[in-house]
Amino acid sequence: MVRVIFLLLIPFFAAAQEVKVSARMDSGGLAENVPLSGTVTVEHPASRHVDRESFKIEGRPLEAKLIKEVEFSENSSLRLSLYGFTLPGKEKGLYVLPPISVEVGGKRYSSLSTTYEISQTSVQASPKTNAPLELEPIAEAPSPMYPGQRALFGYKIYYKNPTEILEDSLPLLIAEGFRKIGSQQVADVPGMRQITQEVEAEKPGEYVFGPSYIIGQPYERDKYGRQSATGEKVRADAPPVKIEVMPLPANAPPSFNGAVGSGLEFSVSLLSLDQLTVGQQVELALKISGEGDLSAIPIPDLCCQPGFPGMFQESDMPPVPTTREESIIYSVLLRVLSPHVKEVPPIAFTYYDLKLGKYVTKTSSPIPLNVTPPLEEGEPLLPIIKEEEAKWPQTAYSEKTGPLEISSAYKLGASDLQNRPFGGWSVFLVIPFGVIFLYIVNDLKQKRGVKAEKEEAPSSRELLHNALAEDEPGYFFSLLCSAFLSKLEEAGDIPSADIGFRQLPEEGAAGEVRRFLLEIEERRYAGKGEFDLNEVKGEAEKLFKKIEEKSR
Amino acid sequence: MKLKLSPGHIALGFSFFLFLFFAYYIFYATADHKLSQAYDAYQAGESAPTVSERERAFNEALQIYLELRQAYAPEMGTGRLDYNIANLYYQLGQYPEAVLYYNRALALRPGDADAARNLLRTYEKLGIKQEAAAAPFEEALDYFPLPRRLQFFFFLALAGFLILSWQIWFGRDLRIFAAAVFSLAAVAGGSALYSRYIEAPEAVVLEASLLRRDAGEKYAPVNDSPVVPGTKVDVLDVLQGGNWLKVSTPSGEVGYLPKNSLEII
Repeated sequence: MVRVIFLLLIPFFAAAQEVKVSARMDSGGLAENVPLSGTVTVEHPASRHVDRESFKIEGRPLEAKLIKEVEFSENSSLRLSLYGFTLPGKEKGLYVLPPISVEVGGKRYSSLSTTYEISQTSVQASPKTNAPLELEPIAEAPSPMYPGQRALFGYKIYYKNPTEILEDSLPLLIAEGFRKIGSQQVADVPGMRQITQEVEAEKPGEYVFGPSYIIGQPYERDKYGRQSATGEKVRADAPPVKIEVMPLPANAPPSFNGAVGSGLEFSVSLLSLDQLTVGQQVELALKISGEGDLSAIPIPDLCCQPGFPGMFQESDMPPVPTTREESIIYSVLLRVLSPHVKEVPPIAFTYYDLKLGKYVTKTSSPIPLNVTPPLEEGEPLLPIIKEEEAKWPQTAYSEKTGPLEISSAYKLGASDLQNRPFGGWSVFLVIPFGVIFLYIVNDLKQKRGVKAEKEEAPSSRELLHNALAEDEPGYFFSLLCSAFLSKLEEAGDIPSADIGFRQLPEEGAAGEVRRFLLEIEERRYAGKGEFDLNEVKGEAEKLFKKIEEKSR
Repeated sequence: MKLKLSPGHIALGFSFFLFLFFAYYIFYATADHKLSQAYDAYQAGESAPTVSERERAFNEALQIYLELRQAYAPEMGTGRLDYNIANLYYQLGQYPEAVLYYNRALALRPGDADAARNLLRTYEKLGIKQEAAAAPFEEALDYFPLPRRLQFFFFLALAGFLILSWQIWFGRDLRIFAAAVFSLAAVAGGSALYSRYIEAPEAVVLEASLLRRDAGEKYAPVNDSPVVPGTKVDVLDVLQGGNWLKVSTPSGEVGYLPKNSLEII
């Protein structure tokens, strides 16, 4: 009978399964102390309507507004309905969103609980003027401020219309003289952008940041998303911001390392076993509690505390902090180096108390340990290293090296320190030197040619002999001219034989030769007198001898 | 005019060459000793049992190599010194500097497969995607290192002048042959000058810096993300006395970076 009833109820169960409700917070707007927005999604058949007045959270009515309704597909009767809701603002932290229930088709359904986190500092847009662009500096720092304390620097940029920043001078974000903690945080709300940077004071002094300014260009986007400038560039200025970091009093105890606070308490507890061998690690929890920003307080330097050097080795990894309400706990790993270790020594924590106006030292209690030598044979026992010598603890148990990822290096020689021969820019000097070389070669060649020509040229006597042997008057006359000119050149009467006989001077031996050759020419061409070749030859020979005798 | 060499001239010339020889020997003998020291330190680092010993040995080798590089400046050398330095930076986990020196080594020895492989590994470590291939002409030039092109130019030009001098002296017509040789020399020399004066120099970003719209910290950044260390950029211009460089990133963005955030390859 039960089975029959169950089978009859199956369709109802099936119909009921078609309704699903889910809820989540909108991640984009979770800032502290700002109303929190979320979305409820109801998946239901179209025939079953959602009762918008029936939303409840933790038994209380919840106002929800329809955002939109979407059909799954043409062939499906399912519909997706989205409703938006708002919850009151909360402080930073991790929270649980309780189940949200709603009636669908007369039946109540609820979502599962989920978690959400509020991590952003609250951002509110509240411009002071009506300017298109406004710049407001942010400088949240304790007063008075001491080295080691943290502050929040930044700017709020207000704008009426979307503006592209072209130029800026924002010295608070550079925070010269302060140590930056983490990266810049940017928060955007309609009409305002907030940029902040957490910083820590390092040295006392008076710091002035600014004045600051930004220059932007308002723009608008068309339906295609293209950006175009509208109007003139706008500028916003902010006045300088002065921050004073007071010096801490002198004569700080040796264990002071910059911690500043009020009413701080310090304790150390052992998280791992107290029985271990040399080389194993102990895990300690260093807890600092009190008022103020505990995350800025550094933990004590264990390496330099009495009883630690040579006995313990700190891990290379920085201690991991865990924040609780009004306390911060650091997990510290220490490797035991010596079998003579009997306890974790007392750890001194010194801080400057702002309320008391003096340095306060808190010392933890020692924690007994039972350390045995290593079990492996041949494992050497480490000697006790004196405190003043153990500035850097021995690393006999340092992390072992892994396999190499890349190949070995070249064995270099002196040639690897030199430039390649003729591989430098000075090789371009080959051009001018080459041209000079060609000029010299050409010049030498020409001089060599002239000299050869001179050496090959026949003497005047040879020319005369050739002329006297010639029977043809024309050739005879030409050779005779060459003989006389060559003779005159040899005698030094003329500079060169490469001239015509008419260009000879009219005086001296040259003049006699000139007149003689003119007379022969007249006889040949003008018909003055008879031209007897043999007679002319005799006269020529006589004149030649005469010039020869004169030149000796 | 005949040059008459006296015994004094000969002795002076011989002394000069002897001086040059000893100066060269002394100059490079000390370098040989340091190179051996550095190589021994490198090998000690490779075989070191602990991380701290390995780092100590590699740092010792790196310091020696960097000192030698600064002293001898083999900008047109074999590139093996840059390769060793790059390897050391890689071993020490300083990947941006490793990228810089691998690129310097590859500029001088483009066929070095080890350097190319190690450079890819370094990019993987930095999470940088492999850059797009260069234009074919520039890729061809990259494969023909600058010192080699200058050597080719020198010997081709010298051969050309010798051919012309032969023509002048012996009267043979070798103009076509000389023209061909000079043409090849012009190509080699011209490509070297192109690489030096026309092609944009490349640089490697060593420190993450925001790419600015103009030369100054006061100018807005081009985008919110800084240029990743190890990125190779083209240097387009140098401004403000060399304090700012206009660069082009592999993604095509153009902006300005401060000089201390990058180094020219």
